Amino acid sequence: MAVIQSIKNQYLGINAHLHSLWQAEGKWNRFHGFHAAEIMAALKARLIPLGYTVQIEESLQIRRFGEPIRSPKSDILIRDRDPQRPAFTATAVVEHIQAVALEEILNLEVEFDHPSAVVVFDLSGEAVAWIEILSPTNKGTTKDAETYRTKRQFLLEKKLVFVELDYLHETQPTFNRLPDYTHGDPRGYPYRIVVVDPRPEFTQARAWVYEFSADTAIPSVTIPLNADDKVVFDFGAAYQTTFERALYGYDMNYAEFPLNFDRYSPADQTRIARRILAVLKAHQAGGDLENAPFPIEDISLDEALKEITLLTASP
Amino acid sequence: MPAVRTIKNQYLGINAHLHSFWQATATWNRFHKVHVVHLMADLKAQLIPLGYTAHLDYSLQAEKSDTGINAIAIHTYPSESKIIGWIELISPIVNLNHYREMRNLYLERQTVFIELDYLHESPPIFKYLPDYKKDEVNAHAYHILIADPHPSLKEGKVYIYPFDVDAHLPRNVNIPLNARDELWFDFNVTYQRTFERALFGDSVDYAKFPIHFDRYSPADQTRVARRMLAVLKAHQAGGDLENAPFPIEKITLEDAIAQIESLTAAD
Repeated sequence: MAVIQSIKNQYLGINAHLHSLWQAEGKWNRFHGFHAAEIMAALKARLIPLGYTVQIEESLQIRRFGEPIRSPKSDILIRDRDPQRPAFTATAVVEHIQAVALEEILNLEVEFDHPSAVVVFDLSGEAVAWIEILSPTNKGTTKDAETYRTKRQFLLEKKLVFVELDYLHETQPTFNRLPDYTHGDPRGYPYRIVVVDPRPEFTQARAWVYEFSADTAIPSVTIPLNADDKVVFDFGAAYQTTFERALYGYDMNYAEFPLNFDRYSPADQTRIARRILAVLKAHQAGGDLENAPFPIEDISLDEALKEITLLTASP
Repeated sequence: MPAVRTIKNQYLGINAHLHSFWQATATWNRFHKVHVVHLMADLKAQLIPLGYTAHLDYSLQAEKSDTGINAIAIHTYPSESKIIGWIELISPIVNLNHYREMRNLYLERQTVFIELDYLHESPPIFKYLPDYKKDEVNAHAYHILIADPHPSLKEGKVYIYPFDVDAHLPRNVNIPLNARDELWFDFNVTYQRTFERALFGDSVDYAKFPIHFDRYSPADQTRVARRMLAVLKAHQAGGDLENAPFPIEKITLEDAIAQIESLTAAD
């Protein structure tokens, strides 16, 4: 079957084909910098009228003089405490992060030398919030991952609101207490956005965890700013803009399954297969794929796989 | 005088105010990371119909990968067997020896190498180019350089597109691809798009001179002052600054500065 591509993302949210490809082939950098720039531009337009601005900055790399970095342990209670927030596929509140003794962050050497983060500033130029798009190197048990967690701890101690975008389903969450999708935890989700507000005190930090599945819309998220200021930001819209502006649709083929398809949960495999089937049928019917998304059929994974095999076997 | 800001870039090309600010405050990455992304998108859109594509890749300016500094790789499409071209937007902090070594390696591999140097406060990477910082003859504030190693390193050519403050970035640059394929690319359009989409105008106040104004040549100082004067006069006349660029007056630097001081002292 011919290659099936479109400029428009056929998925409702994260494009499973591309995220699998980038993770499998070590090409996450093709996405990371581009998406950071798009988030910055879209967020800036929202923030300037509120008296804030946003810039892309170097991420912080934090080192302790003469000794290896120790990883702070987060002790997280998950509870929904914000009924005003719109409901998503899964929304939870991480209400408490275990206090770490101040000496843990003393004698830190801070280097500006790592992939970009998006930083929100108030009018006086003080950083208010930090938005980080996770890279594979930020996750897991490597030294870089440990460095990243220490950095996050450092920024929270500085009372910066921290927003973490985790669009990497092949590596475990950076928060230990979240269910691990990579180990088949049925409560786990492939993607999440976590907002941590460490104010008024780090020990009273609250976090909001927005988790979502394959082929599910990326949520709008409330980012707290100074005092009662806040901005509701549509990360889904920023993602789709990134996808279309970077022409990522030309880097993939909907007539094939994502690489390492088995690394998705059975439920997500079903969602992906249904999406592929919807695209293939629309394509076969001569529909314009730029009018996506197309309705999916409520069928089992096996049925979807059979239909896909049939459709892709024909020329 | 209150700050004079606009979404649209008031300069014809490089925004001297911003480039001075980013160099003075070591915040060049704010521009670098965004502009590379826009260049990649615009290049990709034009390359795909020609059978090529563009991707973000790790810059050669840093010794280790995954520093967040990106370059652009041009590949054949859909098969990405070989890097055809490589584009670097030069940063102030470049490990020169490492970078030159890597650049030579790419050229030896027959990769067309493109350097965008929008930093008037740093010496040029190619040593034989006149140094603007040292006020050398024929030096320009900015340049784009295309090194084409075909048919061989010995016979290859380097094409240099120098340009000044308040001049368009090169609008018709020939990027050689495989065989006789070529891409004509307008770097000015992408620069202006970056400026507007990233809302960089928010960081510019045209009522003030650029930081380290004295680091521009007298000719470029004159261009900056004339541009500022045009903006201030349009602002004073109640014009919509988003309709820029406004016509400049061909007056001396001293006259322009005197008029700017008079206008900015007025409110």
